[in-house]
Amino acid sequence: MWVTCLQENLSKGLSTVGRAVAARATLPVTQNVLIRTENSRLLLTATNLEIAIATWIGAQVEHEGAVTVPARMLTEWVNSLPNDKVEIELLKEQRGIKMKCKNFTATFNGTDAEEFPPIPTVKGGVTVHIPADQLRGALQRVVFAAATDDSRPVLTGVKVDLSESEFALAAADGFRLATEKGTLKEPVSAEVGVIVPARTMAEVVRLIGDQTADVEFSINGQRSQVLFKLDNAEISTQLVQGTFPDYEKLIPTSHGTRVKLNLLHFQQASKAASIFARDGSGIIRLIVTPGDKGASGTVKIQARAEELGDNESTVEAHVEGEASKVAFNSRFLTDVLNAVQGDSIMIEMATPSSPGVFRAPKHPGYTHVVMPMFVQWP
Amino acid sequence: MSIRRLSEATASRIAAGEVIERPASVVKELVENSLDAGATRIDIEVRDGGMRLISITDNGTGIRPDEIALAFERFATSKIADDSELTGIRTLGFRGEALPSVASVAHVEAVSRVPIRDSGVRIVLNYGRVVIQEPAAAPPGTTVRVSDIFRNVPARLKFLSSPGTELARIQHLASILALVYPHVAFRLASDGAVRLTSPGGGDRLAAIAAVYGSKAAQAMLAVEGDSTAAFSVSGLAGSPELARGNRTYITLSVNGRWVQSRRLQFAVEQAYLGFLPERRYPVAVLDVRAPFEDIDVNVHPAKAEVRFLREDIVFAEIQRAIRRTLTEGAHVRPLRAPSANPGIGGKAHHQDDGAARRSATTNAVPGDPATTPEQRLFATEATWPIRGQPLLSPASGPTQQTPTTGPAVHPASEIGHPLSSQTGGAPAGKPIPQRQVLPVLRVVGQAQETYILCEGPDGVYLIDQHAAHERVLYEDIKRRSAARSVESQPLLEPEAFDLGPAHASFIESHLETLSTLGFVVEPFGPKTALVRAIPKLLVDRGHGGGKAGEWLLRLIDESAERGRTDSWQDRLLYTMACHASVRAGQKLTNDECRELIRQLEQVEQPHTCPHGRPTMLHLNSGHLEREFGRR
Ligand SMILES: Nc1ncnc2c1ncn2[C@@H]1O[C@H](COP(=O)(O)OP(=O)(O)OP(=O)(O)O)[C@@H](O)[C@H]1O
Ligand SMILES: [Mg+2]
Ligand SMILES: [Zn+2]
Repeated sequence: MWVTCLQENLSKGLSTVGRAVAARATLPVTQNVLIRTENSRLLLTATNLEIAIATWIGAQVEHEGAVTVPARMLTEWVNSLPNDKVEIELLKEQRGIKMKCKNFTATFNGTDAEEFPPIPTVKGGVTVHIPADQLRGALQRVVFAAATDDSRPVLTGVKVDLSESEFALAAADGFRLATEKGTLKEPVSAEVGVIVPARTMAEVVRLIGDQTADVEFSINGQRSQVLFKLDNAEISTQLVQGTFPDYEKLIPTSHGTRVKLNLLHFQQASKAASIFARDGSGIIRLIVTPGDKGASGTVKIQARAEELGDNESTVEAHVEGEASKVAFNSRFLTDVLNAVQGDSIMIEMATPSSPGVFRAPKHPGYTHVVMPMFVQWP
Repeated sequence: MSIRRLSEATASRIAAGEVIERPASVVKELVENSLDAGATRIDIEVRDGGMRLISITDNGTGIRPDEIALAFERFATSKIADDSELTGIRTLGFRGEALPSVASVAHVEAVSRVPIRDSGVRIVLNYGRVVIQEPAAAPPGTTVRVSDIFRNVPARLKFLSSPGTELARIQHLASILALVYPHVAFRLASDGAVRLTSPGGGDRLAAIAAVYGSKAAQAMLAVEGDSTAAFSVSGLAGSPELARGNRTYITLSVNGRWVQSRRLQFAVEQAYLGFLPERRYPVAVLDVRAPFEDIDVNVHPAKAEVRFLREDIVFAEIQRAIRRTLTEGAHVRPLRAPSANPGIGGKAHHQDDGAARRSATTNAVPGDPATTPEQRLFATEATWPIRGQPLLSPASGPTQQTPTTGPAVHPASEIGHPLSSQTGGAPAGKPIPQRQVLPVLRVVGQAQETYILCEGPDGVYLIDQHAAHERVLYEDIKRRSAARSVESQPLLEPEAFDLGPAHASFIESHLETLSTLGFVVEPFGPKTALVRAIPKLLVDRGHGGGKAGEWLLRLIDESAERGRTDSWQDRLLYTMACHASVRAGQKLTNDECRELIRQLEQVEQPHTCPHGRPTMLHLNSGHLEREFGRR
């Protein structure tokens, strides 16, 4: 016998590292998961050479050893097992493993652990701690604004700036910008800015889960690699090289109209509108009317599907400043409304062709800027 | 009308030049004379590619003995009397130039009899000089024998190709004449072997069968012109499967006169845009009817070109007539039976014509008079059971769905809702655009993350998800750009990008058009431009945010291919649609598959992507049953 562990733990561990397994591999071993004993635990590691995820599961270790086996087959088989004790035996010359769980047995041919690509270490740079819920929330509100088209690689990443006791995240795809500031547990030793692939950030959000302890975030000395240390997993990734746009100057500094709406009502109205937008031009129009002397104003939310019909809902709003009109790509509007929480959301705008700025009282550090569509107003 | 010499003033107004260049020109001139003489049978016989002998025999009106010498004089014609008749010419000849030109470069013998007379006449000319003229017994009609062409002009002789090549030219010409004049029975023999026969009688399809073979004839769709309109186009247009690798299969005539007009050919090619892949050309035999006063045939010495007073009308009519035929007669390309095509992979129909020709020659039945090279060419290319409106076998059902089988795909306006004409829904005189109709398809699932498998009324259909989506997006954005309502998504920050001189001048001169396509661009210094907005279509598929300028240049480059007949705007739209559509390898849910099929049902040309590749293949039930040995 090599190690014994619980099916439940093994299954969870494999799913944790699963996203880092290479899908189509130029280096076939990256489709394997590395299994290694470490201090009476089992360390599972997967990498697609850009991102690496490691996790530990409790196990009874009889002797030290390591091996790599095909990740997908192993994961699927383990998921099909009953929740019971799993016994793993190391085949001769570490050529694979033999597994047994109740009356199920299987053999997985694998390769020597030596063939697995080394996971780069991250040291010599800066390390900070960020409260888990703050990092998770900020990432959830920022990551989706990153570009999916890699024609300009820096935009496929999330800019992370650390200075003094503050962290700032930003993502932009050329049409919209999402940014959020938050506080670090302790001041950072040096001011740094790096661009982390948005894909990695999405994994970080997933793996933070409902963790409460702080996340340790380190950048290496060469500013080429970062590491997120979570409760039970570590994610390291290569950084996107290049210069991120100076996004601060994309945030308008003045506005003529500011509206505050009930978030839920606004979400419902724009959901209704997007049904029409989907079959039409994909555009949602907002018409802001201030109220008479202290009375609350309104925002009309409209969309039309050329020949099929149109739709309008009116949401009460607190309007400061002038009447105003603006039209947004319905996808961009829906994205930001789904990203924020709390009771209300605010939009600041100047003219129909200048960017709309979304803020949410629940997330004081958050700013979302969307470039409106040019449309004909009746 | 008797033969008379034209006045010098009239003669000087006739487009002059080299009439006789090679044996094929002699054939053309003599056959045209026979056609003008009302012949219904024309026999062409040649030796050594026409270099030794060309003999044309017709059953036309004949030439009177007292006029035959005059016929060989310059500017002597029976077809016009003075230059007022130069406009509105209805005969093929009008210059009185052909016979003297031929006679000046060859030894010519003509025998002719006017049917109502008892005897005919024989005349012999030696390089322009009459050496014999005598009464002769002859059948009604005229025979002209031209031998030893260019013997007296060695310089011209040198310019001739080998007898084989000259024969090929004559054969091509005879094929065209047989196609353009289906009421005449043609026969071409070379060195004693019959190379081509056409039945005459006026059936164009029979002429096509005679020239290109019956398989090709089955794949022709009838183009029916409105005979009451001043301008109309009629004839036969090949269904897209019949596409060829070159343009020589487009045969055109104007009021029955064969013309070689590059411009008209272009109009036909344009009409096929979207139905054929790039660098594939249609087969078509079409006659344009136009008021005689609108046509000037006196522009080219060999009368190959014509000029139209109102060319735009002619162009529009060609386009309209062909497109309507194609959309109505369009059909899903059926899958070929694998057994019919042993050892040939999916590329079978991409093999070039050269290869087909080579294999054709080896398959040819020697001495079979009915097998022309053209026929063999068509016979060797894999042909499909054509489901359009096969003119030769009307037994198989029409593709057009009746409204009862598919109301969902037949919006009221498309089937001529009784109210639509009364309410003036369609402007008078402008035809309601015809749509190709898809059969009702039920999605079975996705295969290989690339194809949507559907079941239809007559078997199984495989739909290429990328090609289908590309077609859907293309028609949508095309409609929007025509309505100048392409949604354009502004950038957060206008993006400056560098331009080479070619791009700079292109962008500068097309700013307006680019904005109707969704690109808002401004010149910004000599080598720089500023993009302010790009089409929303691209943004919605996650494109363009990074480098909008590069995107624009890339689209311009991808659309810049020369030698195409479609406009760069159209190509830009294809390219945009291509980049915005789902890729092969993208997993689609069943709902997404259904949605895509639903959208495909709404488009005008569901069977091909904008580049002309098929969107779907059909495996029909009968074929499946045969292959599985169920029948
Ligand atoms: N096969 C024929 N049958 C009857 N008449 C003929 C025939 N060939 C020639 N002719 C007569 O001879 C005349 C001269 O013919 P020719 O081809 O030289 O001139 P054309 O046909 O009038 O004009 P073009 O030079 O444009 O061909 C014709 O106008 C016609 O009257
Ligand atoms: Mg003539
Ligand atoms: Zn295409």
